[in-house]
Amino acid sequence: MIGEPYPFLSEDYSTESDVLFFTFLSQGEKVIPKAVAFTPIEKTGNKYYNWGFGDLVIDDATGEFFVNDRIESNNGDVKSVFYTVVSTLSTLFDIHPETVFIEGSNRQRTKIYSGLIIRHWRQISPFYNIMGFNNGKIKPFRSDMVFDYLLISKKKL
Amino acid sequence: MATLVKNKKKGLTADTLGQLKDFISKVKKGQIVPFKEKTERAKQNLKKARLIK
Repeated sequence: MIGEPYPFLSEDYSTESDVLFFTFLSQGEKVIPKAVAFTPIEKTGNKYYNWGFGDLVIDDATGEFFVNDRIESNNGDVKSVFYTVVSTLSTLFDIHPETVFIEGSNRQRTKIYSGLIIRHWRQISPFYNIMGFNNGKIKPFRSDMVFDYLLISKKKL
Repeated sequence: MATLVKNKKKGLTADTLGQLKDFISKVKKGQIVPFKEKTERAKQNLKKARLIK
């Protein structure tokens, strides 16, 4: 681990839905519940999981929680949140060694994720293969390339 | 839509925590699928890249 993550409020894997779901509290300026989920994209053949992350907010109309991955909470604890989200990856690979798909909720966020990978490349590259979709093709991750989305798989050590 | 704003470091109220536990329980039961639209979009992207059929 490359930093101090927050403890998880919940960590659940459903064999029925094949969804791995985490919640934790971001404790920066405010206390904000966050959700991380790996949801199956394709269950047959080559397996892929979507890696989703967002704030848990209450819908004013229904009074119930929902996940909002477009909100920018700017809670002043981006590093701790990042480390917490990253720490979920090893749990997914313990259950399923398949590829994980990451796409930001907008292009700016996908660029932020790429930037975080570049910053932590020395810690990431020994354990994970990272590819990206650029100009109509899947290519190995490069710091000077802008990707539409990223694919992470665990290296066989 | 309301972002939960609580006093610094005080955590969530018992009511909010109860609502959150209810939400988690629904996810566990498969009644709520988180990131459903995003997962569907990912599927379309992978199909376009011919990584899945």
